[in-house]
Amino acid sequence: MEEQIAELAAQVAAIEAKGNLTNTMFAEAYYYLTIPLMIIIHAGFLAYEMGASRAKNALSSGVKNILAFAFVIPAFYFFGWWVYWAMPTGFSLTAGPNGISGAEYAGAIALAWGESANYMGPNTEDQISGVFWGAFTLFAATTASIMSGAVIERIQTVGFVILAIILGGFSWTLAAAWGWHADGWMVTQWGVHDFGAAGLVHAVAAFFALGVLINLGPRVGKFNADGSANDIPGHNMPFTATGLMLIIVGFWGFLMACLVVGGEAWSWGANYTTIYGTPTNLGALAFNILMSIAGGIVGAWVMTRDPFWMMSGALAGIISCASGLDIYYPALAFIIAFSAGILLKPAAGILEKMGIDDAVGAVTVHGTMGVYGMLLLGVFASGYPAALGDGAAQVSFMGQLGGAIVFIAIGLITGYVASLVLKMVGMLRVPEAAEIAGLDTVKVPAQAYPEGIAASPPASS
Amino acid sequence: MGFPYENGGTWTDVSGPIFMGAGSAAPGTYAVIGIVICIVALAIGQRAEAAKYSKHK
Repeated sequence: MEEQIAELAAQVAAIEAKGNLTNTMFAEAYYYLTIPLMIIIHAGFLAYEMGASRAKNALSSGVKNILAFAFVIPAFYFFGWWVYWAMPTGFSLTAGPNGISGAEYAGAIALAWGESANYMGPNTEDQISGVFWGAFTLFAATTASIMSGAVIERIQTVGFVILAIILGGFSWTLAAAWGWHADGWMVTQWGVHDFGAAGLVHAVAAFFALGVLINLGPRVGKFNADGSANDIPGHNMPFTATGLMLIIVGFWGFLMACLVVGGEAWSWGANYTTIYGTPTNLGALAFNILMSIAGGIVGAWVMTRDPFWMMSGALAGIISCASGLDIYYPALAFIIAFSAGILLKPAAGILEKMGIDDAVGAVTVHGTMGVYGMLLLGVFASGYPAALGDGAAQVSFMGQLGGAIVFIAIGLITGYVASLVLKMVGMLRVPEAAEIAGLDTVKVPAQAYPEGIAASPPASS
Repeated sequence: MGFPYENGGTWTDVSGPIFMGAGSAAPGTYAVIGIVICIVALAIGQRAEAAKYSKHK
């Protein structure tokens, strides 16, 4: 009898070990797959911005996107990951209540040298650090792409890349440490809840872009002497609309990566949770993302009938609901997204009247709608615990407002100061003659349309 | 260089960090070189870009 029990116990232990390994491999594969999905966001921004540029600037705009992607990745490897783990409690760099933050912790797991390097490279006993880092790196690259569209057709390439490194490696990372980390002081003290990063990715990147736009100035010909604005249409609306759709596809990976998979030593429990440890699952995302896409498109269609704004409305719909995609009721998500679609173009018009030339409406779509979404969550989810555990701070309108103001400030201040420095050293804006000639002609050793875009001859009968 | 694990030159029973240079100063050296490459690439890019603009002032 004892032998049988021992044999049974051994079999149970073996099954448990296999189950644990399967869960570990699932968690690893889960985050790994978010990475190529998020790269689709960048394919989308590439198409979107090239299409939104005039033909004379199409490739130059694309070069900018490609380089932002390439430089943000090593920047996040060399210092951005450390910022995320070191700064949740603020600039004091002390450990937070969960003990997974502060300079000492970050120095042990997030630096590419010393003992910490063991977590920053291939390791048979660590199947999560690489894929976590990869997903966060793609969040970082996304912030750079959000800023990228606003500044097309007149920003210098290297100046832009430096701005992308600062935004992707530091600005958004600081916001994420403060508001998207279980030890983040905005979470523990203010009850900030921003599940899908409406504020800490979208608003931070958009207000960073606004800070840059203030120093960069409008494109030649955008504004008349009396202050009225001219429309500068891109050369390829189908390309732009397709790019926007690709961004939306990629956002499924982005939002998927916002979940914490259950059952691992670093998990909050046996099942999916948010990054704050609060309950949610992929079903919540499926309901709410789809309903918010639909609401945003319908709202923008009612308001504009314009495919550019309709596709932007889809993005605005997701972003306006992003803070609460984990807990919104789908019909409420549809209503919020619909309102975002309605507000989108008028909000962009206000920015234009202020003399800001945001070439693709990035500040409005990502910034205004990100803040709008954060505030609405403060209304609808008021009283919900913002994190897991007894005594967790509650979501409130004032907490969300405070969080939004901090995110705006992080983006605006760092974007303004960095671009001001670049402007002072002559690395921000291209010369006017180069802008008028077209940036492809000036600095890209390739042609977008060497044969033009001629109509095909009629088919032979 | 060379396989650093002392178990007869096989992967059997090797676990933990398996990247080249694990446990040595090599990762830090590679990191510094990588950072320098990024900075130098940007400097070269800026010089080339400025030269292009100088023809369109």
